Amino acid sequence: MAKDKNKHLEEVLTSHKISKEQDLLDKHIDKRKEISEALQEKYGGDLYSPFNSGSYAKHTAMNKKFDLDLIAPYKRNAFETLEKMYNSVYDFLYDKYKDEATVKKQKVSIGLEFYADEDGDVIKIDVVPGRELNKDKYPDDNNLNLYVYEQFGKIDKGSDRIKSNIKAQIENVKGHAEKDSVRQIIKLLKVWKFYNGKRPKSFFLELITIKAFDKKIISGDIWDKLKAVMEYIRDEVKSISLPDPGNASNDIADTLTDSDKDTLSYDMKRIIERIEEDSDTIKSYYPINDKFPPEDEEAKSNNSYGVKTGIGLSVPPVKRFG
Amino acid sequence: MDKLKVVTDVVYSIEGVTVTSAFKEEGEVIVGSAVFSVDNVSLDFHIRILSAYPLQLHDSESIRFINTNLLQYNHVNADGSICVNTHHSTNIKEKLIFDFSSLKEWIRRYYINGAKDNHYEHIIVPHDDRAVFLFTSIDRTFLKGDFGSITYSKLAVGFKKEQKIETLIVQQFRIGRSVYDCKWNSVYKNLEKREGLFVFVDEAPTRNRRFAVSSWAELEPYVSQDFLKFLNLNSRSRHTESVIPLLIGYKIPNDEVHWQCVVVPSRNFPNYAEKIPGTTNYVGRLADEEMQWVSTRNCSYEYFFGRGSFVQEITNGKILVIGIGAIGSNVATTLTRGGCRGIALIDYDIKEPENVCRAEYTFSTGINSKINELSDHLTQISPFVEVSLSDHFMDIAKVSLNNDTWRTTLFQKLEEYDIIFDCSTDDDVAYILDQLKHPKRIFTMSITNNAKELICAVPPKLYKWMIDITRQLETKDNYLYNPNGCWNPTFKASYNDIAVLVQFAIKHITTSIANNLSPRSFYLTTSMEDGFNIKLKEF
Repeated sequence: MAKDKNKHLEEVLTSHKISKEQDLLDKHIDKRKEISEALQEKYGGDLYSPFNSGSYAKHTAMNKKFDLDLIAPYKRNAFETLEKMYNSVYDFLYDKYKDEATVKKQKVSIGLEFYADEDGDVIKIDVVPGRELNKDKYPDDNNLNLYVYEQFGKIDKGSDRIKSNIKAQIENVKGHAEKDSVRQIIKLLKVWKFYNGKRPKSFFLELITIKAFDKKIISGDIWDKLKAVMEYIRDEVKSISLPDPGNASNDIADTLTDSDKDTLSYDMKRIIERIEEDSDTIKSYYPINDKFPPEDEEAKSNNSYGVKTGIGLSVPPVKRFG
Repeated sequence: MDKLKVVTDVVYSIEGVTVTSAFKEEGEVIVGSAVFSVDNVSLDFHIRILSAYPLQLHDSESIRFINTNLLQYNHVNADGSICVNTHHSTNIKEKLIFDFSSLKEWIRRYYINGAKDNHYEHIIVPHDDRAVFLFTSIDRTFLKGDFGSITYSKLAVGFKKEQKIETLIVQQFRIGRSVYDCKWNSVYKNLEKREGLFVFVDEAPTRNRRFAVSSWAELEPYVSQDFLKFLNLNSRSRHTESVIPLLIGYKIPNDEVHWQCVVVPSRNFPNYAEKIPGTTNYVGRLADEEMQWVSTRNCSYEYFFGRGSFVQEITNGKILVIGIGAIGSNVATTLTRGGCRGIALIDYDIKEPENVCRAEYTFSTGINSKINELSDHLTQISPFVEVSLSDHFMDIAKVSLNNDTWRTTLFQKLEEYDIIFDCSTDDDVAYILDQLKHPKRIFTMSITNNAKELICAVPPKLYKWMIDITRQLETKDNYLYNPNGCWNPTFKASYNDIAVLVQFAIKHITTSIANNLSPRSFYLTTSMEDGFNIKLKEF
């Protein structure tokens, strides 16, 4: 049955609402608070107040991939080098959490993935250490330098440093004139990224979505808007620059290689073609979180693949052959 | 009109051609002679026009221009006839003009200007068709004067025209204690071996530059006294075979080595010792006896697959094919014909007679394990493919999935492959493959009933996409083939229905790999709108 694309996308968003996972969210918030306090206790006066970043702060979070970011802003003189800062934070977190979590070095952050608790929930927190750019200026300008631990698109490992103003990044989404639509599309693209195992960083998808809204007239219903953004990505991703709102000289487009950009452009082209050709295909690109299926019966029958409702005495016929 | 009269009239009218012996009929053949004058050079040719003229016979023209004094020039056959190849024409007058003009062009280019072709053509060897030796390149740079023994094996007996012809494969070259293997796969390497000899002479042993020497005495200047001593030693050994092959190697362009083969009668070696006058010393000689050449072929990988193969990233890859029914057997066969060198096959199933009509199996082998039969089939196709087999690997995989240690081992084993084709149509297998970090190239292929669509899922999210798309493509048409007595109905589709989709899919996959594109899930859909057509739907 041909799918109503708008209705489906609404259901996708509803089923991925972060509030559906309130308990898990609370656990994340508590854990993040604990880490924040531990860092403050360890580093004392060398550390400004850690603050929350990431999708939750920007209201672009979705409940399927659940990790919260914590920015730890250090004073200029706290460490000789960014690398020493990064390693110090890693060592501290590793010593503290090695028995209850996997602690690993990531591109600009240290990832903590706690072992499943008694409910089977896994908490993931990324800690991003940053050092103020100019001595004692952070409280005024919010500028931080980040350490690049591993190759990051076109950005080299180790040698490079990213200066950024993460608070400005958060404001970039929160302060957008069409923030509700922007947030919807960002969330949908994150759903696509999650279910289809795609590469672009969420931050990249955020910035390119905002740029699409700024450069194109994006209106109509939710599918029209999503399609317009996907068309924009398809057409522009290979040549676009995406200045980091926290530091205009950081081009977030460089977090993807040319080949990644080709792939992303091609992904968008294929998604649009397939959905325009057969609206049912939208389900495979933008699936509903089956943990929270829509309430109404029609949607339920469209999305339940017989797993929950189709169990009966007879086994359904095999549909694939070789 | 009378053919002889036409020939006579046309040849007399061609400028620069003077008939010296009038054309006449000798049985079915028209013969005559003429002098060709080109740029102040005159050459005499005996001309034979065969009865098929102006049509071709076996890819060569049915007219012969013969002058046995021209053997040293390019494009001259052993009988002194010049190779001419001209435009096709069914009109005898037009064809005569083409062919005579072509001969004039040959005189200008090769006789007068001494043109050398860039393309190397093998020397002409007057071999008989009783045997042919196949060899491959080997990992040794041969030096002038190298000699030693070889081993070879009988591959097959066939027919070339009316003549029985034995195909033999060279296995090893031995120089002192060093052994150099031809690069056949292990199936061929393990064939029973016989002994022979070889000598490397550096330059092709020829007369008139292009024709192999025909007597042993003519070979003598090309070989060393050490080799003749070696031959003498061998002539005294006992031989079980009536003839012993002697491979004679020499360099050809592009740093290649080519081998010709002459057979030595084991009771009548051609070498003898001659006393040096005025001394007590002897010198080794070769008798003025006719050599019996047999033919050879360079069957190295590069020649075997020279006419077409997949890119190296595929052919050199370690490939696993899981499930070798209609799709998997076609995939494996295509990969083998495309030059792949390492293929592993997994299937627990047994081939039944009813599998034959749409898979790469034969009736003649009866009930047989699919992996064994397909393995034989693949090595019969290519002497360069190594095939490994497992019948219960995926069963073990499923059992071990819940055990952490076994699971790690299982994943490591699967991740050794560069490319996995999963044609098992087993959702559990797709589920397992979806969890691997490597290889990046996994293709889970299946088709829908009546071969209406072919689905090919790739990571990431291989399993989910495949399940989604299969449901999406599901139709109400669930008529399956379910004959009397059958407990396991199957889909309806012919070999052609399946192969056309599998070939299309493989072409799409290999093109993506050749262009270094990230693999994408896709399906192929068929329709009969405006005739049969296939559409690619890539995701």
